[in-house]
Amino acid sequence: MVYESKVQAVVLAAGRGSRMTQLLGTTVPKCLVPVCGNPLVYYPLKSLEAVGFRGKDILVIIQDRDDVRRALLSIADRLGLSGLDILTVPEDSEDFGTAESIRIALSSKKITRDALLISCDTIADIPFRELFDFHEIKESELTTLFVSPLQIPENVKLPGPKSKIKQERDIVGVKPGTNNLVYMASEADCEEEVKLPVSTLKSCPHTKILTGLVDTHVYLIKNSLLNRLLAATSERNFISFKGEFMPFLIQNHFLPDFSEYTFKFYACIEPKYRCVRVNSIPSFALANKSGDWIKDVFLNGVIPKSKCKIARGSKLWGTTLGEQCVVEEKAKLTNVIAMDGVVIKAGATVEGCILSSHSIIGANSVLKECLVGPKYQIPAEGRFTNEQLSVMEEAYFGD
Amino acid sequence: MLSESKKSGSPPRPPPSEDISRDDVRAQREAKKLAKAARKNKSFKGKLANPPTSTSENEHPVVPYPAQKSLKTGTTSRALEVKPAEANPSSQSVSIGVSADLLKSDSSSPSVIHSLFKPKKGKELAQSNVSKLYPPFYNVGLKVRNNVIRGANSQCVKLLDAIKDYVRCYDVPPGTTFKHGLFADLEGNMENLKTVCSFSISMSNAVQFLLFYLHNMPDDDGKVIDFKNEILDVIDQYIVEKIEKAVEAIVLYGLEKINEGDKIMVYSITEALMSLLVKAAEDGISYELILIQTRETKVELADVLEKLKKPTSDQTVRVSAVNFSSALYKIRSCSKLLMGGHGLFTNGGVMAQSGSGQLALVADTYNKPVVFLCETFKFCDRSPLDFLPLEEYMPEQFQTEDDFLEPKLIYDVTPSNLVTVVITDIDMLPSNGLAATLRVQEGSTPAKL
Repeated sequence: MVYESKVQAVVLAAGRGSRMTQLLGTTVPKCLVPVCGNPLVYYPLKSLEAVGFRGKDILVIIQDRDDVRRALLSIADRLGLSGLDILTVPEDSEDFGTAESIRIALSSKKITRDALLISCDTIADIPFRELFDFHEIKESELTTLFVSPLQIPENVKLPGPKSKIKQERDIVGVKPGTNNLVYMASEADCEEEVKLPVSTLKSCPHTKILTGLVDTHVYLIKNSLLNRLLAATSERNFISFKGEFMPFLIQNHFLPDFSEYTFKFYACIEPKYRCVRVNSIPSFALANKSGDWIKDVFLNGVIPKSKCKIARGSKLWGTTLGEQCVVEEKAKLTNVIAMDGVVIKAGATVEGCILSSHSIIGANSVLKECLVGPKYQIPAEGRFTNEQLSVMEEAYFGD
Repeated sequence: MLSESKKSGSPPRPPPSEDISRDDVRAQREAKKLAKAARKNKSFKGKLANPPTSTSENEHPVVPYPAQKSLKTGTTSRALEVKPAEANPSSQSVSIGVSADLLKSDSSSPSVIHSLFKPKKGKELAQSNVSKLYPPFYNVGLKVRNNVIRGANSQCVKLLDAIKDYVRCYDVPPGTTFKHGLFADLEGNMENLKTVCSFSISMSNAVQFLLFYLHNMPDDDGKVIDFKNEILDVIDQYIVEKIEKAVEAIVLYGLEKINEGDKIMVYSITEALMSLLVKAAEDGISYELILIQTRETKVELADVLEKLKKPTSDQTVRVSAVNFSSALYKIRSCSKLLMGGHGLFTNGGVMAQSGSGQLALVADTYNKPVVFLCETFKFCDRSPLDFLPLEEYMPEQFQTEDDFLEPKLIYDVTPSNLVTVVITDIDMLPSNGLAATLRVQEGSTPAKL
């Protein structure tokens, strides 16, 4: 007798990639960004399938777009996940975030059991067994998972414009010994100082602050706590689950007026595992360059063969091409990441660039370390170095 | 030690003569050394029937130096039961040396020693096993394995609670009767649970009792709900009779042993022992307590202190907590040594927390009585001479930095000649009489419980 899983996996794939707009535009939703030949949302689903989740235990929250739905169903077919539950959320509101997705899912009664929240941009070797065991032993209501960040492989330069690579780090405070989670913040939120509330320190005088770990955005959360989220958001508008709701929960639960809620939050720390969160352009480049690691982690994962046309006389070195790319004669590509539908005309020299979907590189142009936005056309004989070239779409001038 | 074997094999120094030059001599020696090494290589690879004379099991496993390298490559697949992906090459070198020695010596239980040196079982849990296990069982198993549920009594009670929950949710599959289906399924679950955590004696006895009862239940034509209620009642009765009432009985007997002004040394704290100490304090007996403290017993000690702090008739219990090594000195001033038992054996041995055997020996040297408190349901039908064959002794193993797997011992066995008396719920007995008494008792009341 195989017992029903009491955990439901929820994949949050409705994001728009607000930190990657130059790469995505409005044409490509974040969950379909190609990484090593597979759309981004393939990886969390593959991790879930590998550990034994079945289709009907997985809920995927997406934007209401046909291309996303089609891609999702084809991934489900490939992985053998039948009965995948899909929930669409309206994509109109500007301040849409993970907390909103979850709230909508809760109110439409789609989340019925304890939830394992996974963001679609997490590519990681997730130690599910350790996480679940930890959650059970500690009887925790919310367990977060922290692992080591994926390092840039040696001798590899990441393509794209040279920007100050601001690593998105997470600053985590835990109680040593029991691993209670007492403080959580993102480095981006702390301008110059990290502020620890006095109430936190009073309840937990011995706190260990860790800065070398990355939050995988894999949260195992009890149903009762999720329903509290539903109740809490009626008072305050939370946009991001990780960015706003969780710090709110963690910091406030030490305050005296919150003491009726006895929450138990724990942080499962597994530094032996690695993760990359593809939510910014440098991390996207890193993920694409880490094909070897991805192959190791996702065993039996099939990297589909893309139908590209590569003409004779062209030279490609360290290049990743998406679907349906066309590379014409005498083109020279070095250390390039190209998404779907890119056309590179004859004689072009492209070095260390990221080319978004459907961009066209004109003949005999020379590009070095650029980021070419979606549908952008580089004129012939163009010379660009270290620039971000993108089409001004109307969406950017939001109302 | 390494050089001994070489010296015996190398040729004696030739007399300095003009016939043979120094280089030739050296070359000869080298050649002979290599030949000897080659012979040793071959013999190790072939998995020998007779052990080489230079090594014995007693001395530290020394593998002749050149042969060690071949061991790494040659015997990996056979010597270890470890998953190859798990163990890294450096750790193999030590453990291969050990296991090769032990296999050669043809010990009757090679798996025993192997289990001492196996790396942690966590990852090896077959996924399929876990999914077939009823989730509350897995929960209990995890907690027992990680020492969250401490103490034999609470482990047993938690397991029985999980079983009650399971019985309540059990649906009879088509094609079998309730009794057979439940029996087979429960048995399967328990087998799977044993891969998660090793059962303590109390847990295995409880499960055995229940399975026996199920087996002997009359074949059903009654309603399923009646059967379920009957089983739940039986389990409740077991808990009340064998655990709760037993503890009360032990406390009653034990109170006779705690006198006014006594100085009692206490170790291996179990539920029965804790209840006894608290009851004695409540009854106003003023005694002095010496608690032996070790790293593993922090939680229990804190519990005891907490309970003794509650207002009693007069605060007349003086408590001091001392280090384990101070027991050697303190025992002189104590009047008796009181310990809680985790299990009883047919040969009269008592299983208790690691270190109790040593304390019993110390007390015996100073002619102090050694008293164990143990409920009869913890009786185990074995006669171990030491602790190695029993799996409960090592729920956890950890690896130090130099890849030497150090087994962590939780329990040990005190031989019967060191035990003065065991206080059980039926009577106060010398430990070797216990087995007989129990058998007689069980013989007279066959299928009652």
